[in-house]
Amino acid sequence: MRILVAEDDDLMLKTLEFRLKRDGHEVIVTHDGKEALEQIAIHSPDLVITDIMMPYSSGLEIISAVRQNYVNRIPIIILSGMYQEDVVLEAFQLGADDYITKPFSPNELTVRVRRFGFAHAVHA
Amino acid sequence: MIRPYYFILAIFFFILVALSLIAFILIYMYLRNKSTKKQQKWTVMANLLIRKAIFFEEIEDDIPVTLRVQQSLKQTPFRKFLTNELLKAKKNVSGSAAENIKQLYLQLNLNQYALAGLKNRRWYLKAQAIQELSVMGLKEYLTKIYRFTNNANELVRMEAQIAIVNFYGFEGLRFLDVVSYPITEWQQIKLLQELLRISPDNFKGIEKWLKSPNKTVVVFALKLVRGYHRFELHDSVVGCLADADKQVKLQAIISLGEIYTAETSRLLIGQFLSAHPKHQLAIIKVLQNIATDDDIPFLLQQLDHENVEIKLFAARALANISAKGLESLMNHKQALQYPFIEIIAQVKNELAI
Repeated sequence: MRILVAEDDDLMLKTLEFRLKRDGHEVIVTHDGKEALEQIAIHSPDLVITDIMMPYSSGLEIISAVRQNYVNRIPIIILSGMYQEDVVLEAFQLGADDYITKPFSPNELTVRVRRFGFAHAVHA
Repeated sequence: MIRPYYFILAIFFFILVALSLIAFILIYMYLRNKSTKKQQKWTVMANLLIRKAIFFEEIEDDIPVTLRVQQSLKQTPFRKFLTNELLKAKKNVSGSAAENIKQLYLQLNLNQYALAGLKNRRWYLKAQAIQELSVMGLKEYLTKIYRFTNNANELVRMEAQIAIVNFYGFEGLRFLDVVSYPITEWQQIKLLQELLRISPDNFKGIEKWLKSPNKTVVVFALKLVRGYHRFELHDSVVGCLADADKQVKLQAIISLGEIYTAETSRLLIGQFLSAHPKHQLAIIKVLQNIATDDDIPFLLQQLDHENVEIKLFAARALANISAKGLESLMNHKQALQYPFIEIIAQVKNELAI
């Protein structure tokens, strides 16, 4: 799968990149919301994993933009330290497909990503 | 006329100043560049090591640490930098990855520096050390940290209290039994936020905290009562209505709005006349949700209160009670006059939503 990761923390971004590549995915890394939206337009990823609190555009803005501008439904996983109920609900209402709170287990992320990979393979 | 001697001297002085300035800028840029490069080198070293630790899978072995990292650890700035990076990583990952970060932290003996920080006289080093041990989840240092929960320094105390809750969840709140210093509003928010992550499992102690001589503990206990809907504590909360402390009384009123019984509205109405205006407003606000048909006469009386806010909330309470309450409001003698005409329109609008 081609996965776009949007995360402003460099160590976290590299960790995610390393893990997802090890799981056999093609990974596009972006450091902020604006860059993420640009890269989504260029690469049309099969899955987006995004943080919420990021410079320029937040993860929630990414969901809105992706849901408004793309006919093909790109699954979006939110990976955030924000666990407040209203934020989680807003993310799902905007169209997020999954929500993982930090601290997160990389093993759990692998399994959750695999679910979308399976769905992607079925629809492909 | 300026003498040539002074003119040459001035030029010489100007050149000297310019050269000094250039030299200063060059040295500054060189040092900054050197520092940036060092920082970049450290970032790469730390990231590689942490990534290695996160994905380390050998259970019984030590995480391999390069000689370069081991030697760099002798330099305090690098050690501090790596510790911060480890803390950041630990906050972001869980499960075996988090355990590996903790293992690496212990393997590098970084806990020894944190322990030394606990003994340091400077409060910020103490607070930092507590936070470090807490994030790393080193429960073995719990007793050392626990004694700081009633430290004279506010920030040390805050970090220690959060650490204890972080380690032991609701059980960690037992520091409330003994804390004599105030728990600030900010600290209360932080503690409640920390508790949000944990399952409450019918925790004990609130009843005792409701009787604490430390009024901020009582206020915090009242917030716990309403946050976790501890209905069995209704009578103890009613007892707090008699407290001389204004904040305690206010929080008791608000909490009763969350754990009310059939008697609560009557009890609050009984307090209304002698209450402070701030408490009167709180009572009326609570009555919006808990008043019954029996309270309609009292609420109708409050429509004549001099405070417009109380008028508004009384009207809202009437409208929320039942059709009978709304009817009484509409039939009020001044229903067609200002401000009631606007209040009723607003309340009806809210009902429609």
